[in-house]
Amino acid sequence: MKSKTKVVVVGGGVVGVSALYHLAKKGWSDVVLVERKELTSGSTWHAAGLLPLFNMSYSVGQLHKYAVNLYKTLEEETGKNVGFSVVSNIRLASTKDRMDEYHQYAGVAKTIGVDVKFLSPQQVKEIWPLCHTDDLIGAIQHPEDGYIQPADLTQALAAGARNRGAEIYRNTAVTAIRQTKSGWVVETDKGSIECEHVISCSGNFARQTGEMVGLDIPVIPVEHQYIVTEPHPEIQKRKKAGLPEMGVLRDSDSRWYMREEAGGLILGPYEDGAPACYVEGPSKDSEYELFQEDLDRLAPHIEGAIHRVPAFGEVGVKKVYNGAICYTPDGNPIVGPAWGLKNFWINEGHSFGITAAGGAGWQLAEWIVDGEPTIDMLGVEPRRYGNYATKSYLKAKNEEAYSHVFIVHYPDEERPAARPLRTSPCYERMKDLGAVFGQKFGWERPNFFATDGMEQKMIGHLEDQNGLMQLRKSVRM
Amino acid sequence: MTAFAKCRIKGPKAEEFLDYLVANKLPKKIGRINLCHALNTKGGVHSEFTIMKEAENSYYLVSAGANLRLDHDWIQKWMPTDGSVIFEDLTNSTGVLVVAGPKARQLMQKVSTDDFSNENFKWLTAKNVNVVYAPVNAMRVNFVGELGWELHHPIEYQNHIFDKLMEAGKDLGLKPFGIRAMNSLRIEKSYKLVGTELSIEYSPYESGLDRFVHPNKGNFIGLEALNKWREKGFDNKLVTLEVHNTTDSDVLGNNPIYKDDKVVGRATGGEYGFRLDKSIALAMVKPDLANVGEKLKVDILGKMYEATILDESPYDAENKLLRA
Repeated sequence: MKSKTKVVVVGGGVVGVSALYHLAKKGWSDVVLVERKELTSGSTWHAAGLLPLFNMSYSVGQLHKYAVNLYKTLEEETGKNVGFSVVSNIRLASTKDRMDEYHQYAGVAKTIGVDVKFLSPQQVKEIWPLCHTDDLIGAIQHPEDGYIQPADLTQALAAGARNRGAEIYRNTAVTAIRQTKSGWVVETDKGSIECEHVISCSGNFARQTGEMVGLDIPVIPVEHQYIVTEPHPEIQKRKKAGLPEMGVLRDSDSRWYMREEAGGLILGPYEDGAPACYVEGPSKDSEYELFQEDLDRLAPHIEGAIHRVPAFGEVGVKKVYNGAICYTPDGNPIVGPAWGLKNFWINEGHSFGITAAGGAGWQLAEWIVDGEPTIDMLGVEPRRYGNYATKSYLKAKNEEAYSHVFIVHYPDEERPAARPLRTSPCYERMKDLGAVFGQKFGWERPNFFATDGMEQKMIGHLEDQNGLMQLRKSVRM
Repeated sequence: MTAFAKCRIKGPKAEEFLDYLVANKLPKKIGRINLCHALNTKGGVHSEFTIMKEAENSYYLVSAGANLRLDHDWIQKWMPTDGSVIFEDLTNSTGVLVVAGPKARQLMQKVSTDDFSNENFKWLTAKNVNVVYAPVNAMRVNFVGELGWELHHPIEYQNHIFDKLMEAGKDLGLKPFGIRAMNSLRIEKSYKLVGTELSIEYSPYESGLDRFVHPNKGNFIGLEALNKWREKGFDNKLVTLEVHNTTDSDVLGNNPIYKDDKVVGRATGGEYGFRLDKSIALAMVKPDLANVGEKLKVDILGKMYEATILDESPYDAENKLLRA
């Protein structure tokens, strides 16, 4: 093990390995990664491996686009197959608001050069014959995305990093991180490593890693379950006939994703009531850990899935995975410099880590080596949170973020959990005057004042008479 | 607007440090206010600060509430570490109420014995005044394009100030307004926000901040990179658009902009402008198309709308109301 290097990456999930890979690719070959157990043994190994390009944010959208393109080239570069199935991804809409959301998203996609197609229910049926489409109004499709094997992806990135001189130390646990005059010392159970930069990519251990340097990192994981079924004769028949996979299907209004898996199906719902987990961090020995399944919680979504894809109800359950995925209050990861510390970098809170790992590693390497990122990273900025993001706030907000994954993203969306929290003295006075509040950096701020019989609440709108009327009334003096 | 991030930078090297931090010239006279931008080392726009000179080598900085940690961390990481510059976070101890509108002066004169006349209280200046019994730092700036003041005050006086203003404003038609109104009002003035029109991906020139950048004032963060960028040429230019024939939806941001069926830019923000009675959008487009009168198209929720480039600040372009 080296005792001195330029960068120590803490954590060997796909996110950490991608950061290592990108540093090496950018020419910093004297970099190392330490992993307490085996690579991928935290959350990467049980990830469903989906690569959704869909994201409403301009920053995150660019990170995803980069990742999907990178993953396609990894086999050629490293000789390792990453199991990238470009089967496309269809998101269904059964309401007008949902369709409006897709149109707004399609605009974002267009401006960053991501290909999105609109499908009619008939076209959905042609691609996904097992899907019930009568009650749909349409769908969008990303022809370029699909799913990948997370462990294979991690190994390919590791090979790419090692080929460029980076080193990976497995079964090496970080016990302390100390700041020195010139940089950092990372203490491990196998010895200490002096370095210039530290990148925290410790996933479920984010808060514990943060504590070592006095940072309260706003990440707490949430339990996520997905169901793998036994093979279905119809799907097996399709396979035998050499038909292509039907692709990843997302029923946003019933809040789940589905895809083929070994002749059967995988169903992953984003249900209400999924609890935060590892609130005090995983145990020291935690490795390839899953939680007890809770099928009751999934019941409404299973019903929705059977309505949409009756075949799902016709086969038995093979296995239910219930594992931790990291969350932040807004559901986006935390990628960039730590506040108050020089050369300490945070790459945590990845709830869609397989897709985001590529772009996050890419921009962190730019930031560390060249001093600045090349794309606007405000959407994933670690410093977008403040001291108000206490542990109990995070628990409430992260559970909310999880259950809101498939919510219609109205432009003026305001989420209710853990509010009001931070109020100025005149808060009650404004409320009495009809204020409808939004939350910014923990503060309650009036978005508008309901007057003339308007309802004193936020009404989400994309294209909506009520939303506009509210604004009209509140602006005209 | 109590959520604003606020801080004080003082100490023997405060002026020297701040001058290096931002691209604009600092306010020279005590009580003067300048809008200043901190660029990153590649010349993109990182932060926007309203800077008021309180005393020699003492400055009061205000920036977006959402960027408190980002902006204050940026300042503290660039600050000299030898104690010659001192940083003081004033966010939680200072409240802000915004008074704006044609009768703002009348209102202030009802609650204060201080002089709010245009001769003695000019645009972009600040004064310590009393609002009835409370101490207030009144700053003649705002983000809505009307005559008005931001009233910065020690937080414990907020309800006193609030009550006295509401009471005095009864006869003047005073009404509270929120963030959504502010967004509509600022779009009509082509005022920019960090995170949409201002970004590290755009140089200040692309975002129309030319008058806030002084490349000859002496060195500052990002200057060298900005000069190189300018030699290479810019890919974008911020424009203000009128969107025609909208019925129920306006630009939300990230809408693609088209010319002859080709994507030539993206809208950064938009809203209905109620003073102009027009749907207005701000957008980044290719510089060769950034001419007043140019006809473009914009996609709103999957429908194409005709749009025309307007002069910057279509509402009160000459700032007569602001300076009245």
